[in-house]
Amino acid sequence: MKAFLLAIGVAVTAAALASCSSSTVAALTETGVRATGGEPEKARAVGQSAGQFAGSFAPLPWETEYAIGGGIALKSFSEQGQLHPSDQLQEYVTKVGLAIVAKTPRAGFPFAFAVVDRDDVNAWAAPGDYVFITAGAIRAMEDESELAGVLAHEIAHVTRGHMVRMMQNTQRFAAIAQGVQAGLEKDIPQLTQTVDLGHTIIFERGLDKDMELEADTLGVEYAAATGYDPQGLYRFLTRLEQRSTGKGGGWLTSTHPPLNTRIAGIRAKISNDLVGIDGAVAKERFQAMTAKALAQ
Amino acid sequence: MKSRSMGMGVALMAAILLLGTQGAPAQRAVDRPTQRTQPAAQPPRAPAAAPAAGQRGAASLGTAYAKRAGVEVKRTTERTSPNVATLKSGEAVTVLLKDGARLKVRTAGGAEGFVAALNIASTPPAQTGSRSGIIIADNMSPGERQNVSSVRGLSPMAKEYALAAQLPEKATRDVEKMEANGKSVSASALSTFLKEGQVVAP
Repeated sequence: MKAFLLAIGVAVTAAALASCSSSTVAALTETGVRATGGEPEKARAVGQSAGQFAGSFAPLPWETEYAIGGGIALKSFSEQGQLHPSDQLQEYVTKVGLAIVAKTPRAGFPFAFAVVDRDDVNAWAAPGDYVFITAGAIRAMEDESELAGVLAHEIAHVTRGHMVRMMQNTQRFAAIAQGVQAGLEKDIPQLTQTVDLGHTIIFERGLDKDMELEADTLGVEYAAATGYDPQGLYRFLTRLEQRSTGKGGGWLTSTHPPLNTRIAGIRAKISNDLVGIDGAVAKERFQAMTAKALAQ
Repeated sequence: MKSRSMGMGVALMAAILLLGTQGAPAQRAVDRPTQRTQPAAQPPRAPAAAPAAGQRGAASLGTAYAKRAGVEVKRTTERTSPNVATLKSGEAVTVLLKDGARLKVRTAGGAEGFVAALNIASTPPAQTGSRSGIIIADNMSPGERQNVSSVRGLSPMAKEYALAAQLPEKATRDVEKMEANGKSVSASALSTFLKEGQVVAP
């Protein structure tokens, strides 16, 4: 039992070192001290081991990333809604998404996109290059540049490793990281806990607000670099703000910053960095590709 | 010489940072109508005081770097103009002048043309994602890229999780179909899709 606690302490401290927040380091080190029974000497030993552990831990091995992301994708389809039945719609969204990925640091990675058959307005991403958007979100859009803006926001979460960073700040994630380090890739209970944690972050707790704002501005840049009108996300969020009547979903709830804050951030990004950059809106194609599918 | 270099560096940073501030007010950039589906056909503008094409040693604003892979250096300021070069992520170019939202640059190979300022930074992109906990494609060897690409498909560990958690089989089929959709789009199909939508990188 004591050895188990010591191992947890190492993992917790390692997770703290793998992240960059000094306050998190302090908090998790304290947790590590508690896990070793409050003995300072052992806590120091834990810290030394954790430093070595953290050095070999980051970046997250892609096998682990795909296992966690695959689990979150499974849980998403199980609890949030099924894949929308229109193959045409799925192919269309996938092409827009892949075009954007080609302009990011993860160009060439095998991203997968899905339209989830539910009516609220939401989109989310999981490690391992999984991106989801609800049919309700697409219904609230008017052109392809708005779709590109939302997908680019989610892609930015993946390229910046936001979900992984959030998970690294937690004790439960530290445990599975240690399992992988020890060659225990088949530790399904640990994976289950990590998937549950990721699902909770996405649908209940939310990412850090700064991460959401970063994904907005980076997403706008990705969309513009692809050739889309950089104002697509701005128009979409402005419309959501005007229409907001309570039936929102993740993009309109406490898991994201207030819409007016996000809109102001995007406005500043465009005004500061993207003046003179326009791009395609592809309204007619968007209508042609989505109207029939979403009328079902 | 040192002060001259510093002056050029300052000028380059100012050029990149202030690119958007000339012409339309910032407010107008957001509020203007956006129904355009393709760039308006305009003749390429001849930049004032442009160095002679290919003339090495011409006055420059300093060195800048491609922010992403595949940045296209175009012959003119029009986004539909032919490419004269394609930059790798982090590849250095010499900035010769700014023209609206675009920069005229010279590549290490001597090609001169225009790039969108949003694709260029005054410092090289980060070389590693080691502290972000995420894999960055630019830092991977071809072999590593191949491994990552071939791993696509629902992770065996995730499948075991689905069984252990007693998730409905439909969820597994949905993830597998989602992944198959991503793999089914070829590079040529994506290129055609972008052309049909008149989506052209700046």
